[in-house]
Amino acid sequence: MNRWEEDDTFLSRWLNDELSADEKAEFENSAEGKEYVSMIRAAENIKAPSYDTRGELAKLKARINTAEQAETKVIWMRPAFRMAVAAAVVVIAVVAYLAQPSLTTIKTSFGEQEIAFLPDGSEVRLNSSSSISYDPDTWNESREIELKGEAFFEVKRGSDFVVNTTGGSVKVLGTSFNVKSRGKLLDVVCFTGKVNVNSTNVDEDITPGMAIRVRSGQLDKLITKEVESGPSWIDGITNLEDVPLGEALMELENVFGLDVQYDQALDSLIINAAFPNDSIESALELVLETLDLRYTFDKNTKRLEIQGVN
Amino acid sequence: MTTIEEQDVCKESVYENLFVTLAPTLRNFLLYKFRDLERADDIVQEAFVILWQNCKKVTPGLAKSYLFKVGQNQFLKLLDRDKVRQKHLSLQTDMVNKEDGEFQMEYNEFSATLESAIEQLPDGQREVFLLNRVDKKTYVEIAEMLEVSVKAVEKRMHKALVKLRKICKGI
Repeated sequence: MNRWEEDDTFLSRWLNDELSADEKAEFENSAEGKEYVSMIRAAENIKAPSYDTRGELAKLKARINTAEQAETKVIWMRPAFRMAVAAAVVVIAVVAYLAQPSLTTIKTSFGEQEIAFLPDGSEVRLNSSSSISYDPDTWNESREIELKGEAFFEVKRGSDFVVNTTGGSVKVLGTSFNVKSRGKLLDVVCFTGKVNVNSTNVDEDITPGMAIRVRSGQLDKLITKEVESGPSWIDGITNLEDVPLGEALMELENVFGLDVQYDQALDSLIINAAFPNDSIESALELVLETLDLRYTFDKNTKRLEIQGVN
Repeated sequence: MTTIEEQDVCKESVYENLFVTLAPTLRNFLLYKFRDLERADDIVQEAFVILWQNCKKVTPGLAKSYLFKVGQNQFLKLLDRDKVRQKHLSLQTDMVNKEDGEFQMEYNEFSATLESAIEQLPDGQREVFLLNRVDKKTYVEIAEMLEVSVKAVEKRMHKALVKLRKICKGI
């Protein structure tokens, strides 16, 4: 067998001129080596289609400007028209402002976490692939916030504080609690104070150390657990407790931005695991291998395919 | 010495500089990976819009791997929507004009064979091969873009060559 067949980086090093003179000569004079040489020569003529960098940059800037104008209502024009238009814009802006609430939205993408402070000083830590939105103008009258995904709240004492999710709403006075609303599940854990969880057929008060799970509007379970000062995901660890495979995979998608393929029939599998948010490989091992699942993971496309149970 | 402000991606000159240096490679990378020229151009735009929206969170040093990641993800989102469409690489081959007629013809025929062989490579090998051969990126640079080890890039390159030769020879 030739060296270049045993050594799995031989040809790379040859291309990069990292071989010794002897090795190089021996290879390039072999019949196979000659074929590689002419192949690489032919490859020299291959070109990618041209790319108009300046033109594309101009297009990009135009796009960003349009987006920002739409957001902030800044319009560029000649000085002569500025005053008149400015007055008109003020009128339009005031009308628009009165007509619809201006929601503040904070959003995280996969792998991101963010801390946001609400107008009353309450703190929200947003986990990956989540968003909150609220109306800062009416905040003093009603502390109400929309949540998609998962967040940990530390609420300053005051009037009712309400978190609305697709799976139900959570109401408190002043406390800290974690809300997770992904798919059909709504998980709420109370860390301090008292929390009211309300959904189609649920109306429960929970106190520190209690956790509740609502599934499609119905009470799924109410448990007492040991709690620390906050949920583990704040420290970069995602905890999966008694969740169906689909939810666990959704969590992996949220944290790592994966593209997951699996058979819905496997959804009856229940997972209990915790994984670190900074290593895909160990997360996959910890979550999938506890269930003895067969899977393939392509690092480049971030595609995870689950074939079945071993 | 540069101040923190000068290194800010939100600063227009820094951002533009990132575009000029990274956009062409990102476009070619997306083309090699997903074989769709029109979309590759669009996704580059989208990736840079997303970079702009997150310019406070991303430092210039991280911008490269951020853009490659966002670009791939945007593409994967689109691919999910239409998996069926057949794509091709739209590469071009320069005519060899120095050589005599007969040789030139053989040569161009071979180039065509090689191009179709490249299309048949697995995504990971194809992108490494073309980024190195066409875009003249070093293994280290490619490893950075793809967030894999240099060793992994070298292995893919080796495999790509072995496979290309086999396909060209019809083995």
